Amino acid sequence: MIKLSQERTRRLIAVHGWSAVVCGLFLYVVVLTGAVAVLVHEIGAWSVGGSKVAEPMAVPMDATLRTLAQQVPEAQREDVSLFANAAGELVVFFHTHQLNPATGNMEDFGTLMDVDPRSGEVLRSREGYGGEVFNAGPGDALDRFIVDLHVNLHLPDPWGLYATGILGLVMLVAAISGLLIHRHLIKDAFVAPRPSGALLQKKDRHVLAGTWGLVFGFVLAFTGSFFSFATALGLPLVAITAFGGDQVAAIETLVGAPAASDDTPAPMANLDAMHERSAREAGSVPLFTSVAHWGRADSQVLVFHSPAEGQLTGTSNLFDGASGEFLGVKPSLGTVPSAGTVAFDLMGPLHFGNFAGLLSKIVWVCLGLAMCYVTITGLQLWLQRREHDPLWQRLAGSVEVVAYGTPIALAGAAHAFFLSYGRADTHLWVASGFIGFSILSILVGLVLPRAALHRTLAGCLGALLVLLPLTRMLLGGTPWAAALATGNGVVVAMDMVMVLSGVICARVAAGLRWMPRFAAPLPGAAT
Amino acid sequence: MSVDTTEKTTHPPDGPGRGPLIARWIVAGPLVLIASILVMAGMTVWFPEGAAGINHLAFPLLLFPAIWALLFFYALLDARPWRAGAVILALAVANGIPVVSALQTMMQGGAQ
Repeated sequence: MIKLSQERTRRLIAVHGWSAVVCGLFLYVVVLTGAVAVLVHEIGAWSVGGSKVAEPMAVPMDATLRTLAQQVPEAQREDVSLFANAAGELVVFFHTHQLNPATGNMEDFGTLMDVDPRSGEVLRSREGYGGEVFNAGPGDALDRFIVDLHVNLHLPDPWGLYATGILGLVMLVAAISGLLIHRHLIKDAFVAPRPSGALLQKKDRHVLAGTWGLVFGFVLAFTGSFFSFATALGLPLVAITAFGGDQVAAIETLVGAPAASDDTPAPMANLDAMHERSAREAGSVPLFTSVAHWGRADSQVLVFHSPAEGQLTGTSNLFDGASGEFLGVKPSLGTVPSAGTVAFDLMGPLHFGNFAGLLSKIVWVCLGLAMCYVTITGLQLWLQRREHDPLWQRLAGSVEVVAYGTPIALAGAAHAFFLSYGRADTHLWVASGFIGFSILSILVGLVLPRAALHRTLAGCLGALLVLLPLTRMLLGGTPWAAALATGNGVVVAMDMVMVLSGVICARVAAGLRWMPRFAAPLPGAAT
Repeated sequence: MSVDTTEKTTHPPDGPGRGPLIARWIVAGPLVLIASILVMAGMTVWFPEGAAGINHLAFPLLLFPAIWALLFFYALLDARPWRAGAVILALAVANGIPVVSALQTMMQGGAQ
């Protein structure tokens, strides 16, 4: 039990409430898209009908890479990045580093190619700076849109990162103040909603979900604000203080200084053999490969792996690019293991929930959705206590519109993706679909009376979700039988999740109270 | 868990009028934000480098949210906002000196 004076408790309650009122709706959007983004790889695979190859990075690619290297300008052969996209294609980025006049920063510039891993055929090719060519393929549109909405709310850098970083700090405040004002933490974890009145019932549910999600909310807020502020604010400031503003020097120290330069031409060792050795060492197939100084005596190959069975964090193996010799495990920061590396390595798995495969991801999604529920019910409690104030009641309608409107807009964006995939610019269609369905939700909120709003929006969301698998398959998406035959069970699983979620929403719309209701407080509901 | 942080005051903690309330807003808002940014940047100077020589760079970045939260709740819960403001200001100044010095060096280098 945490005892606080009346005055301090009053201040904490004020901060807990006002932080939610001022930032709650934005926080809800970020947390909801974050919960969805946990399954970003699965959504990516589902949106493009599954992966062409089960493990594209395990397919022999050395010969393909050598052929591709001859097709790009010599200057762009300095470094090569290699990974697989959701469609199971190899993404190869031959690049150099040069000043981007648009941003004023040193950036990667080169040619990015989507390659069929079986035939080595170049499916698409685009030249530009890293930020322009990465994730710009037609199949990347849906998952990238969701991730960008979560990471920076589609605001320009660095403002989007600052905004989500501040929202992370607000969530941290809500979690800590919530912990301090809950006088009976253990009891609150097992509280049963009281049947005596709508307000008490809602408060009990808010406390129950908040108590169980407290640690998760804290972890999510902490790691989220770290990711937002570390690159946008922290790294430039650390570079100023410790390196006189030289961010390149700061990054080189953090990631470990490169080997001594030797530009003597030297043939590359076999990449497939390096991948094979790396997979043996790490216990998992490569996730991402970075080749520094292609075709030079000082070439180094760094192979990144996701966490192996029973491991919390992934590993990176370093090879001599010219001889193919295994140089050892490379810590993610610095050149030797340190406390800073361990702490840094933990940030990703704790935020993304990808440390135990699909199981931990599902837990993270559920806890994320619980946080959404806590945010919305917290706002509703605040508004319900002010139900006689017309000003606050205007906000009550917008809470419901945002609570349902965000998933409606996401489902609308997915429909737009399927409509345009292989036919038009998917990136434009996904953005238009999201904006269009957002506007539609707002209009419904403005036109309909509050009593009918909840059921109408829940019904719309249910219909959009149930229709998603149909839209996907009718517009040429992989049918279930074909997906299962090619080992793409994720496509079938995601379709089923959509239908199930849609049915739950439909039941809510029908007033069957199958799940927590995001109903706006109605006058007279408080007791 | 039993943490007794009961406030022992003989007078209203925020005093009469809106002055203390405004002071607390200023301290817990902009001052805490500026102070935590300066502490993060200043930490690179005094934090141990560790075996890999990166702890003084990594931990300030990793701990920024914690530094901000710690200072924010101190500013919020201290009975006297002016005292909290003075402590946080002192912290900001102490950690801001190496930042300002590095900025000056950088600007002089740029001018030359």
